[in-house]
Amino acid sequence: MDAKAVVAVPDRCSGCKQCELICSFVYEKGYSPRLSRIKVVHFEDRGLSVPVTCAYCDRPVCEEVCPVGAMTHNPDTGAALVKEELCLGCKECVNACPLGAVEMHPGKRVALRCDLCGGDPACVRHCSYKALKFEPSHLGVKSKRRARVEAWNLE
Amino acid sequence: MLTLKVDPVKCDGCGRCAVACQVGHAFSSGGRLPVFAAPLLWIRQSGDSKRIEICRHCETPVCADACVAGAIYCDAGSGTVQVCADKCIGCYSCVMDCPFGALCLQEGLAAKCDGCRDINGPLCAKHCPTGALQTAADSRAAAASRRRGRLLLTGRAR
Amino acid sequence: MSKYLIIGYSTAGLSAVRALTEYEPRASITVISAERHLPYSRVLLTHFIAGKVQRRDLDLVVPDFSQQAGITLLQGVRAVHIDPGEKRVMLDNGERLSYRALLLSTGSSPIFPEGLTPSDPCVAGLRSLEDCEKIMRHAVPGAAVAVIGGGPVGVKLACALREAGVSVHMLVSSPHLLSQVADEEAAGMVRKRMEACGINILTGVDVSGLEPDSDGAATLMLNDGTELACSLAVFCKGVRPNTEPLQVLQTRGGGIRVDKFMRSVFEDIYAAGDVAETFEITRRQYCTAAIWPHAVRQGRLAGLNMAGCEAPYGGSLFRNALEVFGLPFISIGIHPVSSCGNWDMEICRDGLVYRKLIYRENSLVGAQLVGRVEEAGALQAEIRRCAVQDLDE
Repeated sequence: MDAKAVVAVPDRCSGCKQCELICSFVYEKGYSPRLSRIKVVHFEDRGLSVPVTCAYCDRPVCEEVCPVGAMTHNPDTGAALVKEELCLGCKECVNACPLGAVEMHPGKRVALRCDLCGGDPACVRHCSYKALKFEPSHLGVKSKRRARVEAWNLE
Repeated sequence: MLTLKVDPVKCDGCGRCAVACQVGHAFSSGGRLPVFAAPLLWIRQSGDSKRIEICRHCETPVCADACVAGAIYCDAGSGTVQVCADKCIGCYSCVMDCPFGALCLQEGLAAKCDGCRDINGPLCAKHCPTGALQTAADSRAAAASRRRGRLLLTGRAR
Repeated sequence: MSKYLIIGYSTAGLSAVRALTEYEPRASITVISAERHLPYSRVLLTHFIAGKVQRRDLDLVVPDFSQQAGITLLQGVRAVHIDPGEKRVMLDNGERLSYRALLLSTGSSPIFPEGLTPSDPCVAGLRSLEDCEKIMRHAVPGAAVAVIGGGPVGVKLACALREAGVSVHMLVSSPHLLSQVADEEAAGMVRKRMEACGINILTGVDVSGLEPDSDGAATLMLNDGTELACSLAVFCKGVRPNTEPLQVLQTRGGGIRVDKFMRSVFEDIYAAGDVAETFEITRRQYCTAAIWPHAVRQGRLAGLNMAGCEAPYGGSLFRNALEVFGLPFISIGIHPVSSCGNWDMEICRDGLVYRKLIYRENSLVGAQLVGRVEEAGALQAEIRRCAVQDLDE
């Protein structure tokens, strides 16, 4: 599987939320973190920030639970698509996603999910700390593993 | 914003949700004697798969669009979708449009989950032993806490 | 100059106003309405005739809604000409209004056979409150009223009149009732229930003429040579989109074709409701689908799109729900009129329950339910899903 995904490198993330701002700007023409499809989770007690977005699952549970088929994905790139015209705002997908990567758009009242900006994610381009990478997801797993090992060694 | 998390896979069909719904609403009418009506949610089984037919309190409810009498509305305070029984004419339009099958006609009027607006609920979720029905006060907050939990669980937030 | 101009103030127009005021609270909105009433529910008119609802229940808004929403409402005027280039609308009182975005939600009117007009005291349609009042003047217990047309509106009206104590004759030109939405068996069950409740139904007949009597009643000439005396003939033989004053915009005989953002071919002119031709997902063609939920949704989406929030419309889907003296009937999608292509169906009968699913190329495209209708919503969602999937491929 060589579909590419947005992969986070938590050790590099400064928690500046630039990814959230640029995401909302690209899609909603405004700087508003609550309209962002990527979210930075802060663990204040550990001094750690982790950006989280859609994992582009092979069997997306959000698509399974959608009663109207509004959640789809591009079979080639794995990029998620929300058919806003079909979405009822029933929040089934929000509840089903184990990653918390789907939310409701507060204005349009439809599901909000990362679609990889059609192949060139703005959050990756604009991350000043290179904490986000756009790479084949198996590479992501590998580099995450390496990062973990390196972190252990340092400790 | 009321969010009902429905997971039919976890449901073992015990029916406690329906009983809790019935009993809870029986005492909410204000009279001294309980008034039992049919429950406002149904578990439908076909083969191995189950469907829990309960209102999801959608943000843009199709039932409200379909209602010709203006009887279905979003209650902004509780974030629920409600039927105004005085206005309902029992035309089946909402039954036809709800993809969850969450509405049916009882005594000629549309009946649906009211999110236990008048009672301390939602009772179905409180009494569900398997976690097939759960509530969250806010889907946004629920998603945020799931993000944190997931990161802690998978060790990405060491 | 008003930023948003809405022509026609009924379901679709009202939904658009609501969406616009929600999305852009201080927008300047002007609404033109030919009717002197505030928006009311047209679908409830038959219930009003039956005496099940009061006049105030028909209203969709509170009396001071216009002030609350901050819109300018011009009642009793019609738009006679639209200049898409100049972005200007001329009204029948000579006034000219310019706009930044225009919504046409003018609705539709009943179709009458040639030679008959609703100005005739014995002829009526059923679309507006005035039509309804005319019918109710004749609908006194013991009177005879002819309902011409066996579609959902005709059936609803016939039942309503019967409940008001009127003796009803239903004249249907097709071989069976509800021929556009149901097969013979489902329609037969509806017919049986209606006849059991005292409605006289004649199928395969058409009205060839109407002769007014001296005492205000009329005699209907039928094409099979028989005559039928009645005090009023109500025509429910379908509707035609109201595009007359907007000839300049009309591309063909039908309504105003819109894309998935409810835009017509002209810049900044949108259409919604009965007047709009939208893509029907099971029939896979553009057509006017004059039903209530479409008007609500299209109106809202048109409003959002006018305000610059790109909100696409998922296409329309023909569906109808009826309640005939306690017997529920729901029809969704298509029912095959021709046997060409790969069609299949599944029928389940059980006493007063009849359920039929229709498949085209192994995907669900239609359903008819009589008697037991709980699954209708889930079936509708499935039909929509199949149709959208097929279209994607």
